[in-house]
Amino acid sequence: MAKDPLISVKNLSLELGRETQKVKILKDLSFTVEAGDQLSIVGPSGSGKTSLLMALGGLVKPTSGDVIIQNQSLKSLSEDQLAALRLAHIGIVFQNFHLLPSLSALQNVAFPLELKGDAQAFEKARAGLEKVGLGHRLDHKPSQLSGGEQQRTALARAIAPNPSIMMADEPTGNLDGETGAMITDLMFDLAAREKMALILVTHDEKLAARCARSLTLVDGQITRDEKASKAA
Amino acid sequence: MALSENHKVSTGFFARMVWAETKASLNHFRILLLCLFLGVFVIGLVQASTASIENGLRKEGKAILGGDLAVRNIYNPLPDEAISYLDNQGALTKTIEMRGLIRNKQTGQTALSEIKAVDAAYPLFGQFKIADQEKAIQPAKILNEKEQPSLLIESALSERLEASKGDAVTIGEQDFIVAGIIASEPDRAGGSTFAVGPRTLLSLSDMGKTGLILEGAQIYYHYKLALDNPEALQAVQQEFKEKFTGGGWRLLDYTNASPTIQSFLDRLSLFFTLVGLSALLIGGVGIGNAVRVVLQKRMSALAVMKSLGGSGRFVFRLWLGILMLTACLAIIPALIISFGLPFAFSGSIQNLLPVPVAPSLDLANIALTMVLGFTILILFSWLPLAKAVQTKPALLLRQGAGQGRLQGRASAGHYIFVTLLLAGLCALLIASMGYPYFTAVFLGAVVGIYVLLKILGWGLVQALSWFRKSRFLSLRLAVLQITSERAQTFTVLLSLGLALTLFTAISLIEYNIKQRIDRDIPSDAPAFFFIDIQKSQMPEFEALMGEIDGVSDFNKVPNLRGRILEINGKPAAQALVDESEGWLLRGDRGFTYLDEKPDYSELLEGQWWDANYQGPPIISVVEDVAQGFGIGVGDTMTLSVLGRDVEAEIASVRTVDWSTMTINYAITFAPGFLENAPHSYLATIQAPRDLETDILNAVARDFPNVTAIQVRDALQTASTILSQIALAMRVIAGLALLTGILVLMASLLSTMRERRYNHVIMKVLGTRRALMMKTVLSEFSALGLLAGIVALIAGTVAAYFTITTMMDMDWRFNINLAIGVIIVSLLITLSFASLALWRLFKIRPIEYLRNE
Repeated sequence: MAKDPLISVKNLSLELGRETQKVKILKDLSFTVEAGDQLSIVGPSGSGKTSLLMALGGLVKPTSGDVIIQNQSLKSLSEDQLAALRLAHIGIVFQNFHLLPSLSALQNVAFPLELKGDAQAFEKARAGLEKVGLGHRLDHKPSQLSGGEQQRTALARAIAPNPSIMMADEPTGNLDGETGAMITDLMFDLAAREKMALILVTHDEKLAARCARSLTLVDGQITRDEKASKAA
Repeated sequence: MALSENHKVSTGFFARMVWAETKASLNHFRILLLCLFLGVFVIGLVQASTASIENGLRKEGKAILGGDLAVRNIYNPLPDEAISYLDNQGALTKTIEMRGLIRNKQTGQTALSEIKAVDAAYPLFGQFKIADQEKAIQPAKILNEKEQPSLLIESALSERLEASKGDAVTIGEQDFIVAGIIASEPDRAGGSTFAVGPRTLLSLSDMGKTGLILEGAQIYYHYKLALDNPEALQAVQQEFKEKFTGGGWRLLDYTNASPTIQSFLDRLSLFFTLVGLSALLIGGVGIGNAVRVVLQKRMSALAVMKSLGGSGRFVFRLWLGILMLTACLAIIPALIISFGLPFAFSGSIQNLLPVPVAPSLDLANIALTMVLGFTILILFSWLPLAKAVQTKPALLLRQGAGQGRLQGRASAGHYIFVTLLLAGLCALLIASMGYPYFTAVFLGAVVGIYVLLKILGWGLVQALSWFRKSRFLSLRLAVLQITSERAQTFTVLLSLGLALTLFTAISLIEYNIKQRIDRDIPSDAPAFFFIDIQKSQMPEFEALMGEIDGVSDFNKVPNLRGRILEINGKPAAQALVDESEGWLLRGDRGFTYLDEKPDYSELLEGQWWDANYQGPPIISVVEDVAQGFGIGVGDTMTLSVLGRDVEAEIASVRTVDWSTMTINYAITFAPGFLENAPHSYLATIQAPRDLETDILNAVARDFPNVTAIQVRDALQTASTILSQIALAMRVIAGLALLTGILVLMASLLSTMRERRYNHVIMKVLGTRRALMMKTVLSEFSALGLLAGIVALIAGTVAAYFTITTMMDMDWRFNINLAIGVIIVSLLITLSFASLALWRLFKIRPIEYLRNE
């Protein structure tokens, strides 16, 4: 029997807005993602890339269709169950980093581990920060870190609970070219090392090209789903 | 795959998160802290002050009462066997108290005084002191020092009489020398009667020489006892009651030494606590608003937590923890300061009050105040919190952090919880405050006004929406600001409106009562009440009044005093059905007998008796008596009259217009029964003001045993006390207004970011200052005007209800006050408009646009 895909998207549609002004954001999308896949989602502004990522992360409920992650249909889950699912399987990296400003770098990375009730939360968080080269910035608050350092912390936080999927929404969008490249290298390296599936929303063609597979969205529809000729 | 919604987070992690997030949010919570502090402080201070006085009364109970227990009898001494019974139980002191006129022999100045005659044993407890002497003394020693009868007077009397130590004064038929000025009389506040004049103290033996001890005169005989065996307090009382039944005597023990003061204090404390609670409720509006604003600002942190896998429950608990921890920063200092103040200033407070003050840390009061603080916090922050937690984490990917409104919806469960909490709060207050009916009405009124303000606010937004298409740009922009989704219209109306409502209600109630006292004295109201005129003196007394030019409308009625003992054979205390008529059982009631129905009195039930009625005792009662006991024609009342128990049947119930200030009695006997009992008369006269001193002096000279009460003086005293209470109320209401202003400020600050942005864009587009000023001023004038009008309506309704229903008085509206309320409201909002404009005009667009 063939192994079930890690993520299975079935006829996914999403409408947003109030009743009289509803906008169709995603239109009947179907695809699968396997464990360890590296997938980029590209397309022009307003094509629905971020919305698709939100739907995959259980951050928004589809209007119709379903997302199935590790055999669990997201449609049937409550808000809190979705939160628990993210905690168990998904790490997310945002364009704006979204670190908790009141917590130090170490506490930010330990946060999801503590939510899980992990007794070694801080040891693991420290190791995670060392992995991204921030072993010397453990007790710094986000406001005391540079943009690159904040995004590295966010990366460490995303992978700390050892998720099977990492999602990133324009992870280098707020960084300069050099720092962006460093973060990208780190992200791909970590995803490969931890055997995580990586789903990346980006405008950056070079960044998209580093993924083994690329989905192109135009006006809420998949216009192209192709394997890259050369993986990064 | 099992997905547990409840992650097992450790307590340490939770506590760390609460601590970190509290620190991060604290500077957004300044207004919340201030509102909470003010509200808790006011309630705490009222509770602590009342507790200090109550504790003082309790601790000094024996001194205040003057004994472990005290028996008081009116008109006559107790029977000898009763006195000897008391004598056998311990040390006994006998005193006599009555009202009488005292006259300066040199100047002729006359004043009404509370005369007290004491024996050598007085006082049994507490310290009696005279001016210029540190040590406590037995007054009898000074009074018996000289051969000539002497007396001690209070300084207020010394001022009125212009008499000092060594001067000669007259009471009744006896001359006295003033032997000193009373500095402290331990049992001054004891018993159950309110003093109408300053004290004169003389010896029992000299009292007899004054000629005032006449049959039927209102004389109180006190027997105060220090028990040999203090443990036997209850047993002695019980035995006394059983042995000496009947008679009008009244027995008090030191645990309730001053029932009148106690009951006055209870009511005052209730009023102040409720006004304080209103301040806390207004603060609650600010608290709710502050929580909403902070949550909006911290929305991204909330969403991050949820996107990282934090459950809604975790986030909700976390924020509840943050709010509770933050609240401690306001509640604990407020408790420390409010409950500490009486300790710090007990000396100064003591000098202002005639009752002992003993600060104490009453844990129940502290707990009640703390519970009120936390309950208000939870009540007003629960729903914003429930909504915030429902916010979708997707917000992080769509909106800029901290920009959004709280978009989630609180579930029905949350609304039910808040409703139950509100009901619980009301129940707690009704149960703990006493006077449940009044408290319930007050709380109902507050909730009603709250709802009214909400509805009016909604109505305003709807009404103003019509002007969204106005020709005038400034008006259109102002309307857009007021009716925008993020506007603080409701908050402003609620906070300012509630505070001004409270102010309006207090002012209107005070205005109505003062009108009643100061101006509503009917033109035909008497100038004097004369009491204790003996039957034999009546012809001469009437003649004297006839001789003085200007005196008119001489009226006289027989006057007896006694107590209501039983209703239809049931003890009166148990028969009382309407607690608001509890005055019927406190102290003595006056009785009279009449042939004709008195003026200003209408029969409601039954018939007035025949002028020649001869038969068993029948009475006519006023409606308060009938209502108080739930009785009517045909029911019986047992009354103690001149030491005898008299059972009388009610023949009629009538209503009386007391505002005429003519003589009317709550209980009036038919003729044929009391005529032969020894009693005195009460008389009234009308006289021009400039004659009052002459009349007073003439009565003191010719009828030394007759007590003259100047109506104007008595009303002046009542008016002064009322002003003092109203001032204290206004101070507390002022704190409520301050809270309202704080809330208003917070609302303005929370909209400043948006205002700045709009302002900059408008400026860039070429809008002139004048237009911006007009816009802001129109917006704030509309809010101020509406808050003022709403407060005026709600405050007037509340005051009208209090005056007409609870106080049973005629209503009078004060147009000046009404205009004042609206002007104050406008001034407050326009000050804030100026502040907003000042800040807006300071902005340099270039800086702002860069930052944006």
